[in-house]
Amino acid sequence: MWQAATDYAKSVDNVMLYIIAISVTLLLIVTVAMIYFVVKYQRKKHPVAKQIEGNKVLEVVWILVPVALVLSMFFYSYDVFKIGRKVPPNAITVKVQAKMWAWKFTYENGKTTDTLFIPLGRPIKFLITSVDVNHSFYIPAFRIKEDAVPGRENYMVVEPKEIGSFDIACAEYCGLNHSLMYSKAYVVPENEFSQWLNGEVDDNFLRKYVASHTGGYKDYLTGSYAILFAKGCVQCHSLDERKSIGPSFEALGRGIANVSFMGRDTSINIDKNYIRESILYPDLHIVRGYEKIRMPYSTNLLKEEELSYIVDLLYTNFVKSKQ
Amino acid sequence: MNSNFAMMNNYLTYKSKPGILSWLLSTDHKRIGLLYLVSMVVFFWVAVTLGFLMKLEMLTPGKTIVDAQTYNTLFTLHGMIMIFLFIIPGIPAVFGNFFLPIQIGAHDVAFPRLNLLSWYLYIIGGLFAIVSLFLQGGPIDTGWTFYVPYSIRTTTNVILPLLGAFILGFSSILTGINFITTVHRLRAPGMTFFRMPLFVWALYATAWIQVVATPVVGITIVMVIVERVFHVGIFDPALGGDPILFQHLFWIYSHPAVYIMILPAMGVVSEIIPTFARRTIFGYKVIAFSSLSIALIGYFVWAHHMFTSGMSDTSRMVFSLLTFLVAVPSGVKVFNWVATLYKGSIELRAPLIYVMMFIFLFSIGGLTGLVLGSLSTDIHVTDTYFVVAHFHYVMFGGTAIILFAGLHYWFPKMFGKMYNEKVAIWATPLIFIGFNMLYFTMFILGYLGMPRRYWSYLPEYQTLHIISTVGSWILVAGLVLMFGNLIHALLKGKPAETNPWGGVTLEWTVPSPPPVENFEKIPVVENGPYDFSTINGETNGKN
Ligand code: HEC
Ligand code: HEM
Ligand SMILES: [Cu+2]
Ligand SMILES: [Cu+2]
Repeated sequence: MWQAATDYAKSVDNVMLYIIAISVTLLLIVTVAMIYFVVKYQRKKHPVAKQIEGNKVLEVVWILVPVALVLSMFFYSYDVFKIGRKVPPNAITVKVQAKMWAWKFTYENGKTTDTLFIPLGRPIKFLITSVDVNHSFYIPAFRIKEDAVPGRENYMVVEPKEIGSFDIACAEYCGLNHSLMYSKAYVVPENEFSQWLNGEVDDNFLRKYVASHTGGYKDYLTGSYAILFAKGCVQCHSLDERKSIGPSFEALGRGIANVSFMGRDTSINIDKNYIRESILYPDLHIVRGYEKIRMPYSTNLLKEEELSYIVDLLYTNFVKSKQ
Repeated sequence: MNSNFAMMNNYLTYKSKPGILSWLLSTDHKRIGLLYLVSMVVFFWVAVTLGFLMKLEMLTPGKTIVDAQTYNTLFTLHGMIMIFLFIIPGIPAVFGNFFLPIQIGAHDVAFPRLNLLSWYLYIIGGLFAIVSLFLQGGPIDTGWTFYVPYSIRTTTNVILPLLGAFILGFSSILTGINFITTVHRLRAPGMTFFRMPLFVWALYATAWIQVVATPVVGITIVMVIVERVFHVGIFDPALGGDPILFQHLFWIYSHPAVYIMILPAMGVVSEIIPTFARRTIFGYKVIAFSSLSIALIGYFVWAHHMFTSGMSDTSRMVFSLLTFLVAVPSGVKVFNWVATLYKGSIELRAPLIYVMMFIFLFSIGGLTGLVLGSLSTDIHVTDTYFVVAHFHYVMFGGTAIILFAGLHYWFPKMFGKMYNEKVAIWATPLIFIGFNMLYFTMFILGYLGMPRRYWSYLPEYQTLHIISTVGSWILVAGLVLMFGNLIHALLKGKPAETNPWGGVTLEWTVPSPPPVENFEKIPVVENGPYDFSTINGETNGKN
């Protein structure tokens, strides 16, 4: 979870440390002085107060010193910010289009994806917009976000310095599934990236590449599960046996679901229809042991063809393969 | 003071009209202050309950107790109630109404009937928001910021709560006008501007912001309503409008509004500290002028809420610089307050403990504001839980805690009863510990990249959320204890003296509770507001 995957991100952390260090010092001075005075000058020990109306020198000092401190913060921070906004001439452009509630990435040659693939060590300029309401394109590991506003094209620049996969989140409230609008950014070497861009290798090749470099999910190695990541399903369903917030997809292989259906406990054969209903009407049959947390309504999250794709995928790879 | 006069005229028991009407139609500034107090406490507890439910939902990723749509309306209502019905009217409406006239030696505010109208507007505004909950379409889910295009497109009830906010704006403007006039016209003989208590200064600066900034949000709200109803393109790009324009207009009001929230609280602090330290405030004029300069510079920093919205880099730089500068006067106030404790004769009573808690929490809120004013770090943490933590430290740790401090400070005066001080003090560690567990964890969550207004979250954030949720339980326990103690005192408290703390501003010269007319005879003011020489029994040298 704690990653700083660009030089810029590390600079931002340094600015943060600088501001926090000064802040903690000031906070300590104020708090310690306050407590010390309250103890030292308590009425029992100090029955008559001294009436001090002020002190010009002190006032000037504690106006000027904070001004100097905040100016230093401002300039330090602004310097880092400026670097982050510069678009180097060798930058490649990726268009980012947000909609309720998914991301679409368009590369220079017109290829589009819902997961982001970007080359290591190359500056990337994102041109960000939205087709409906405001969203915000946020990659915490790069310490950067920029709003996706309909009718405008905002930009931001990153230069990834680490192979890996990083969360993409939506940081501007956009309605029902705002908190599920996650995707992933995969950083791969330039060579692999251009092979992929030219269609010589597929998405899974890059996932595999990243996984083998970072020791990540073994699941990346096998299926084409990108969509389960893009749609936030893996927030709650693991692809291996691990129980998470929801049952693992692996467990679909048991063939029979023990559910509570219309208030009664029954068993249902797991077929395509069951999977489809589970996704579309999460309230309809609740897998036993999971009733406390129900999955989100996906009606607005998935297009019909995406739904069919997921149903096929889960059925073929988890249910049928076990029979 | 003639005690017979006081007994007959006690503002609490005085009957001008039959039954409850003598309250609901009262133009007495003290009774209106209490009307506000009661309604605000009710709204506060409703919103606390919503916040409590939100934290329960955050106990696990995915659904814990409510679904996403419900969560979205929860944080919208929580935010709207806390902002528009609790913290903006807040201290001016309660303590301002009650004590501004008394502190400057007046019988009432300048326009008593307008004052009652303000309260009615406040209640009507609140009712609009409440009624909208039960209408078809369901409760509003836009967040308290009403950002377009979402607020134009959502199918929930947006118009009614927006109208409510519009009406509340008028309530705020009228109160502002009333206070400005009162300060200018009704000061007692000898009460020059620089003899006014700092609470009055703070109310005065606040009133100007209310009058000048609030119309902007009124107009903006009308524009959103017009756009929703008549499909006139103003903000929604689908209709040819500009969503960023909305954000500018919204924050041109809502940033100054944060000073409407905090300046009066700073005024209260400047009252409480001298009283319990028995000494004059350190740097009276510096504190008075810092209120004015905050009010002034505060107008020019609004766009720090929009650093990621796609403004030009130059505007981002200018707004960042101004934001850093506006932080300084607040810092200066903190230094002056601490310096006021120096060589005082300090009695650590309940109100002062709340003030110390305020100084610590508000400093954290202010200092983390620097992280948000700084461009490179703001881009990372804006719209994350870092911001949620920051504004709770400022608004809750700052303003709301001082509202509690003021309640404990002025309670004996307002109700003529004394509360159990041990219990009042026992509530503070609960509030303090609960508060920091609840909100400090949010700073970390935010820096780790968890966005705000999230119904579900990545499992790796869960541990921090659990700590935070448990914190909310402790905090609410502390609040229950505190309020319970005050309510108990209302019913069963011992009678309070005229001047239980040894304060020297004018409200401590009138009986507790004050008579209807406040003063039998308007006092003539001969010294500055924090002259403790008589109380200390000697005229020890000033330097
Ligand atoms: C917020 C957490 C969460 C998210 C996100 C989520 N689910 Fe679920 N899901 C659950 C829970 C909890 C259950 C078990 C309770 C139930 O049956 O409703 C479940 C049950 C299921 C089942 C039935 C499983 C079984 O073993 O019988 C399927 C299939 C399913 N989800 C698919 C999906 C898909 C596809 C997505 C992404 C579009 C998704 N879920 C997103 C929490 C989630
Ligand atoms: C026990 C008390 C409280 C609890 C448990 C609480 C909890 C919360 C939580 C969890 C959120 C963030 C929701 C999210 O982003 O998903 C929130 C938002 C907010 N809170 Fe509180 N809060 C409390 C008191 C207060 C007080 C006293 C104020 C103001 C004086 C306040 C003002 C706000 C505002 C303005 C928001 C933003 C709403 C929005 O995003 O639209 N809260 N609160
Ligand atoms: Cu969003
Ligand atoms: Cu602001």
